[in-house]
Amino acid sequence: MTLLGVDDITVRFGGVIALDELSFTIDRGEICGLIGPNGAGKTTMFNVISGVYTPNAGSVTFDGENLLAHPPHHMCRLGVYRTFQNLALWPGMTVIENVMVGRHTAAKANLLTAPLRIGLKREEDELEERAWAALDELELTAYAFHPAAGLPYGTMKRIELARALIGEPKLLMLDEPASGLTHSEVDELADLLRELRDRHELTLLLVEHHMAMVMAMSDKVVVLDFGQKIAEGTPAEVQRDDRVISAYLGGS
Amino acid sequence: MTARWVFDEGTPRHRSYQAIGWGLFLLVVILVPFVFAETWAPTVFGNKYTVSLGNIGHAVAWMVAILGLNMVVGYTGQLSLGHSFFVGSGAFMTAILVEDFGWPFVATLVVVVPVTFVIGLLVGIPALRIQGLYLGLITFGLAAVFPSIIKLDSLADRTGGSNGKNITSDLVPPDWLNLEGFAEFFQGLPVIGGLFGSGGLSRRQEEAVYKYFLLVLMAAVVFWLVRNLVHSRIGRAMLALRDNPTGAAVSGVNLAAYKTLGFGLSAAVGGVAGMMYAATIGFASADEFGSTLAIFFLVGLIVGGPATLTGPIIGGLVIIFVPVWAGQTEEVPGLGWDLNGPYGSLILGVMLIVLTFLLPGGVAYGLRRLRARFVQVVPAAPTVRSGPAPGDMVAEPISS
Repeated sequence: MTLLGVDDITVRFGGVIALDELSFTIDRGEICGLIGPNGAGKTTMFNVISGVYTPNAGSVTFDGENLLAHPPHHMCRLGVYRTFQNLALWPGMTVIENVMVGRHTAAKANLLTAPLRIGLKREEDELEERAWAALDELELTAYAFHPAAGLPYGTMKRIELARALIGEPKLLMLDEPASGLTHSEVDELADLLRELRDRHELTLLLVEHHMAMVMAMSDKVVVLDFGQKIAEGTPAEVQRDDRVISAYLGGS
Repeated sequence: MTARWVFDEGTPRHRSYQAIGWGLFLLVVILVPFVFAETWAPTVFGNKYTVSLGNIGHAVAWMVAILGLNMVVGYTGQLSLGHSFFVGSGAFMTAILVEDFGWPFVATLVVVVPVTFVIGLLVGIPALRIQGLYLGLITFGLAAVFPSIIKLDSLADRTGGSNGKNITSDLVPPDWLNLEGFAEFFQGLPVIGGLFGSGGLSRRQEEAVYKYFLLVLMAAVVFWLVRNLVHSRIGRAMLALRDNPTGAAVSGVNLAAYKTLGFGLSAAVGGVAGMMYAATIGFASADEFGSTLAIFFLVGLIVGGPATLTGPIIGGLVIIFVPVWAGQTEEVPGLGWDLNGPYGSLILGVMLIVLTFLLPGGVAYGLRRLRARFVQVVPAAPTVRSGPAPGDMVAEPISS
């Protein structure tokens, strides 16, 4: 059953065509890898789905909703969450507070109830417990009360994951989760992501340069080159595709 | 570096530590007016420095004003150089309602808070498109134009124009409150009794002491409300917006709404500070609320510590007492300089420069680091703190 449907998306920056009538679908529970050489349009695609860019043409359907009709801050309520290639944590808060923000839209305190503490204690306790559980799942509880800055890169990436999990997303988009990680960390990450997918019934969309990881993890791979889809299929199919090979190795 | 005393959060030992801390703070707050009811004027190195209850009350009002500025500068990270506009609006609204319509001071909040909140929201709208220095410039314009607005001929009837507006205080201590008795009690204490002067309180002193307690009570309520707010999802969303807007948006924070809200809250708290100013000074003058005051608020916040709650308390004291004491410094021993003249702002400026180098994050941050040398509180895991919660509140059990 299709969760995300990308249909004929075109994005132009001035004269440059970043995405050219791109279409693909992701089924519920699937791990989909989005790969391609630098400048192929992978991050642009991410930004279209998460509402940062408005495409010039095409549509994005998510769980029956027209995603393009929503501003970026609605995405997480609809069930779309993403992590960032360069991390988007908040150093002014502790790790557990960072994670608690992941449930911003599910929490209810407002301008009247929060200052007067109406139901605030209950809500804060619940948020803290959920955040703690997410941190526990990712083996981060030791850092819970540290500021979210100056920690190892891999740790910060897992904090982003915890922040995403607490919001109970349906689709989790990961922008280069393996970048900057060591070999053994990459293997651990791949296992972890598969476990999380199973436990939280996630659908994953993965932009990644680490080919071994993408090929090992993905149920389906979409290959972009110069804004166009040049191949789509299982890892095995894609690896045999002539256009993919020439896009990666050069040639015509 | 390990701290001298380590407390586990939530244990009885930690609770007693907190209780002692708050108890001492409360004690100081209660004793201060009786110590300074008679203006205190020690001589240090040949200079006479004064601490009067009037100045302290003024500082308490400015603590609240800086707390308001903190909402927009400290928590949402937007530059505002126009805070005196909101504080001034609050002060003049209170002045007019009390003087011309006979309202009690506190009742004016019913008008002041909503009106300043809306003004703040309106000011926040340009902030959606403009950031940084340009936003600073726009808000600075507000502060610069405020005195002229108050002096407009069409408003002068109500605002007093360039003469300012006197406010007759109805803040007299009720009969049941025996301030005199407290003063006598403190004076009778062994060892420290001498701090409290001698003889009874004059009528004027009694009023000043009473006003001080009202102001402190109001400030405490406002600080409590703000503290609750910043420790909720709203406060965290503001910090998220400040530290990384993209991450905040992805997490569902409506950036435009929170940026505007920051200004609205800042203005509303500033309006309360204006009311407190009117209550303690009893006079509102247009020129008081110009651009200089706006800069002073910002200096107070930066020196005190942005995005903290102790920062505004320190900042309020600094922007009142540093200029006063600087003005009273006529000579520095060892230097043959004659310092008669308007050196208050100069010293405040030098302090700002020195402190930004020595204590990035402000005095509040410095105090925090100092405290960390002696006291360490080990936070408790939420599961330990509250135990399993009933029903749907339980987080899903984790299999490992």
